[in-house]
Amino acid sequence: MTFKKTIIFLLFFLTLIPLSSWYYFSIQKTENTKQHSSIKVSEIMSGDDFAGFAKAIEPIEFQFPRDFGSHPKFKNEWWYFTGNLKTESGRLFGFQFTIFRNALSADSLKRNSLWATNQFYMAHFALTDVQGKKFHAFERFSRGAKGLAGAQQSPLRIWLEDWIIEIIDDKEKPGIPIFTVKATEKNKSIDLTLKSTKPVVLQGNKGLSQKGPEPGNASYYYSFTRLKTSGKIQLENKKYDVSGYAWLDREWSTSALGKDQVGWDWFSLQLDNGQEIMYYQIRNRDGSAGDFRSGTLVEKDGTYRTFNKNNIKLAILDHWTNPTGNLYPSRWRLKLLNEDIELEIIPNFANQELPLSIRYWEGSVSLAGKSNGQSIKGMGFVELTGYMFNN
Amino acid sequence: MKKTLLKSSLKYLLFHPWQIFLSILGIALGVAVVISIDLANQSARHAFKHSLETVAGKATHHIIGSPAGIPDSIYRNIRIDYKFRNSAPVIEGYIVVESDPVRTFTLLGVDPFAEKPFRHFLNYSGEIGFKSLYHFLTKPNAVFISDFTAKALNVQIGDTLFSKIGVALNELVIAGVITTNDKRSDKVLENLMIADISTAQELLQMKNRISRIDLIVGKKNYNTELERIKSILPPGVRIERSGSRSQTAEQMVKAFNMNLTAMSLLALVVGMFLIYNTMTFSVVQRRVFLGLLRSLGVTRREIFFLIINEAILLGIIGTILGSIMGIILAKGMVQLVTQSINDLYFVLNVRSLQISTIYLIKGIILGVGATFFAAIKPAREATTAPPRVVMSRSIVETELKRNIPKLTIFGVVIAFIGSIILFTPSKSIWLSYSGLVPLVLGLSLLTPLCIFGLVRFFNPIIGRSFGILGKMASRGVLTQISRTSVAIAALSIAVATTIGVGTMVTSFRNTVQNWLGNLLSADIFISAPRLIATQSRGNLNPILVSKIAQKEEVQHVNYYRENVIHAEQGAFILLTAKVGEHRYNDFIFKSGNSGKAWEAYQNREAALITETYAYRYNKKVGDKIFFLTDRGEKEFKIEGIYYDYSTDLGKVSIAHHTYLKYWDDNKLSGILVYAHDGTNINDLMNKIRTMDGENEKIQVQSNKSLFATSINIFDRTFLITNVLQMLAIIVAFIGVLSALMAIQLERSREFGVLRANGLTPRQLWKMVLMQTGLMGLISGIISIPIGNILALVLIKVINERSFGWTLRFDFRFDLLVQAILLAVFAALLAGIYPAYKMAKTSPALALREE
Repeated sequence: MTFKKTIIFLLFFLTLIPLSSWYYFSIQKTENTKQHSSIKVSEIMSGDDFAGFAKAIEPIEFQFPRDFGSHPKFKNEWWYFTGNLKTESGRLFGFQFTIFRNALSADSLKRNSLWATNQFYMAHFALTDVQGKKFHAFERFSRGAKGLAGAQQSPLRIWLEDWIIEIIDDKEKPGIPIFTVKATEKNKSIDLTLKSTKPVVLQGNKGLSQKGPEPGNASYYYSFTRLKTSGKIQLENKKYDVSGYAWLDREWSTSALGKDQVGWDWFSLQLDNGQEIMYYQIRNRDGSAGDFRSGTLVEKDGTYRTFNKNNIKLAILDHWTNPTGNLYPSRWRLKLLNEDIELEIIPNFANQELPLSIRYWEGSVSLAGKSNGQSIKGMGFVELTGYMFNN
Repeated sequence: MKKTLLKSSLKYLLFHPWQIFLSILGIALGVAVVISIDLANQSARHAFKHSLETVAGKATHHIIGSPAGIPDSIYRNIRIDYKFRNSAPVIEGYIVVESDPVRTFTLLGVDPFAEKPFRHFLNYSGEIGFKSLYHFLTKPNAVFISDFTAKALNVQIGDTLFSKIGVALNELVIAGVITTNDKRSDKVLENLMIADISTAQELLQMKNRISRIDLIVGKKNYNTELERIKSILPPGVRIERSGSRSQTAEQMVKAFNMNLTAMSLLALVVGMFLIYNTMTFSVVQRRVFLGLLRSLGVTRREIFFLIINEAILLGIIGTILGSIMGIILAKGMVQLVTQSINDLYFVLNVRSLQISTIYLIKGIILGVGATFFAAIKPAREATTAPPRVVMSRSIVETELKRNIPKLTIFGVVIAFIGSIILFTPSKSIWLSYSGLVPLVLGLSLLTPLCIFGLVRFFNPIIGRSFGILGKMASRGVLTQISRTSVAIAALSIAVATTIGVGTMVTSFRNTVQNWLGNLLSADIFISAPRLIATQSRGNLNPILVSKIAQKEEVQHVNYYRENVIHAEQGAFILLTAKVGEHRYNDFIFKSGNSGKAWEAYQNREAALITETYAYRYNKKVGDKIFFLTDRGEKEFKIEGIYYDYSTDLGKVSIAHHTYLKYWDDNKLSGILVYAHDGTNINDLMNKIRTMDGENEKIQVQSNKSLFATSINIFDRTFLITNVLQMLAIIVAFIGVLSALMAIQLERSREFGVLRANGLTPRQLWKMVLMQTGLMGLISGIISIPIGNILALVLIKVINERSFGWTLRFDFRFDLLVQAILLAVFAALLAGIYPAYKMAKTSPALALREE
């Protein structure tokens, strides 16, 4: 063996070891590529332990301003704003801003840490840029402790970090409040003032909205169906002065979806003639709308009447497939049989799905049809939950 | 031709299996020790870094404060008022589970809603599921563990675990099990218990405080963001980069790790000696054959590589074996290293050995490289064999004899150079070791001279006692001095190592014992159970002090608070104590006026520092130290430097009332009770023990038992040193065995002649053993000065430079006797096989040399 050969042999020997060990260690590595999936609505809404929570069993007398605030004895509660706003030049934006409250246990435990609480908050903020056909959605979570999130009665304030709803009850018109809503995420924000133009609408049976056959499987539910709204919307680095109409839904309950119920469809429609329609239907696993569906028609003067499942027909005209391959209905014809109203409900564009921890569709829609023989237009919002069959 | 040469090599190697086996074993052991220490160090480092990274997640910065944490209201300010939403509150603590008390878990308290950007394993939309999250958030004492840990602890969801955090006993509820589907996540979570921040706050009794706030500061506007955050932090709270904690940790154990590595290299150096010896021997043995080869036209170059290749072949085999042995050995070493780090520095869980390719390669290169270098001289010697003419052995011996003065001068020069390096003022540990090596090597070059002197001295004595046979034996040592000197030098260095390390350890131990005896003047010591043996960081309720002081037997109560401070320049221990005047003498000052220092300590907020702190941070009396307190940065004047052997991290001591003034932390780490004379200490201890609350378990120890525990810990931390020393000795022993055996075996012809002339097998036995015994004795004697010089260097240079400790040198007479006995025993053992073989071989056969 020459010196050269010795060196070559040595080099070979010394490279063999790192190469083989690299191979050994590389086959040991298995990448964890599992994607995090969204939670299904039914998963959250079907908590098994309702013992100790207050339930919506019979109608109650709503008292304002008290009932603007939170009802921590109930499991779920939300402050749900949706609306369609325009700039002076007519550029249309849809917005949704919701704070959800969720009590994880019935009793507030006595614990030493001030971080400990049974109250948790989630908030969603979405902007529909109709002209740009862009949809932006954000979520936040927090515990209702240490000032991070909460609901306080005086002054009325519901907040999750710096996403804030403030409520001032109009002294001259009690029960007809003024809201301010503020939310910022990255370079998108809303800063709105919302004044109700109509008195409160108690949904269902004097504000008791039945969601399932068992007593207590219901919510307390009221709405402000026409909020005159003005303020600012920021999109990217541009701020727009906007105005238009918004809608507030307030609901609290200790109810859950039944075994066969997978989600719901909800419509809030504001017609140009001053009428509003709310309609919801809870859907079964097979896709059909079961017995739990009803709605309310609000007249221009603020009077309202409910209608039940026999008085409405809703036909799906089109579908949209979301990026994960789930099918959403995407265009409807709604007909109120006892009223002379027939409307086509058209999403302002298809993809207004919130791709958040809980995935659902909540979008700005346009309306066209007839009311009392007159052709009519309008704007609204539609919510579609429980369509996530494959993640 | 080349093939023929190779064949001749192989044949030679195969015909000397003992020698070859021992060389391979020597190299293998040397490499194994180096690799095992490297792997153990690396595994410990990796485990710590990994656990920190796990806990830090994607955080780029942490907002931290004093050891008691930061006020939790800062979090709201940062997150909401200043809209810095990439932030998460964190509480971190340690927890021990009763069913597995040897394992320390990290309790990580988090806010699941702020976790998403930081730690993947606790995403609210992650693997855990909503339902268990309900329990996690609302059930008191609820924790999440990994499925892997659940299996190991044999628990499932809903089960309870009894646990201890400091003095508090708790019943934890397993609220959820995090399913991991790959090995890496298992590792990430294996020593972690995750709890909601509220639960962690309650378990760790951190009212309105959190350990830190994690931040992700984006690259965009990095500096302005950072400045913005800094500007809003209250005094006593600061921001640090995420990696800096693992850096301080590495800083903490650096000296410890380096010394282990240096010790491990010792084994390899001894292994090198062995290869050198084997190759030299093989060349000398084949002089005739090599001369023959030269005359046949084989070039010097070819001969050179013949020998080098043989050595490298042995080296490679030895190295491969050594790597395997190293990995096996590392499994034990990692336990020892972990134990020591846990005793001395911080809580560390090393559940698995990290087999790092880099360290395997390093070990292999060192092994093969060492063989190569050790073989150069013998290989060059082989090329000097002139063609045809066979140089007689006697010429070699005479040459060496002539060279002794040169060799001696050379040795003195090298040793002198070594000393100069050692005396060079520096803090470098490596420089110290690189001075130590030439010093010892230089001294070993004096071996031939010493052999001559000693043999001349012993010769008449042996002659008188054992007659001609004895004289022959002792003369034999001289006539083969080229061989015997190497073997004797190797043995004496090995034995000197035992003296050196042994003397260092006992000197250290005695110093510590003295210090402890002085320090532990109280009768009873009360503390929280310790996680790090040399640091007391549990939380005791200050109410205990007044409760104990009320007892009639108690004369006086002192107490202290001890915290590890992670300052920017490194970690150190802040000891804040209430020291009564009667305890002033417990501290022995290295510099500073004791009276003045105590006065300033009590009344003028002065600091006393340990000599290790002074060494680490270059401080002297009169200097100032700056700390970040809960009231902002504060300066303390150093009034005294005192001796302390509890930790090499360095300690700063201030009065406890000064501490309370600047820090929001009234918990205590330890209480010292002084009883009236004549009190039954055991009775008093029982009284104190029964005082503590239902859910608390304080540790009450007597003076005596604390002393014993401390010494136990000391011994435990030196266990690894002892193991390394043992391994080096084994390698040396193998070397000596092989060298001595070779010498004796080589003399078979000579013995044949003697046997033919009437030497009985019995007499042969006697002669061989006498000769090896004499060589052992000489080695033993030579090892005494070398060993003590080594000890001196270890104590006065290496130790001081590594840790900053002043140790008293304790001359160990018993070790010297032990060393000589060890050397003689090793040498005698090495003589057995050759004597047995020679005695059995018929003279005629032995005479046929070729």
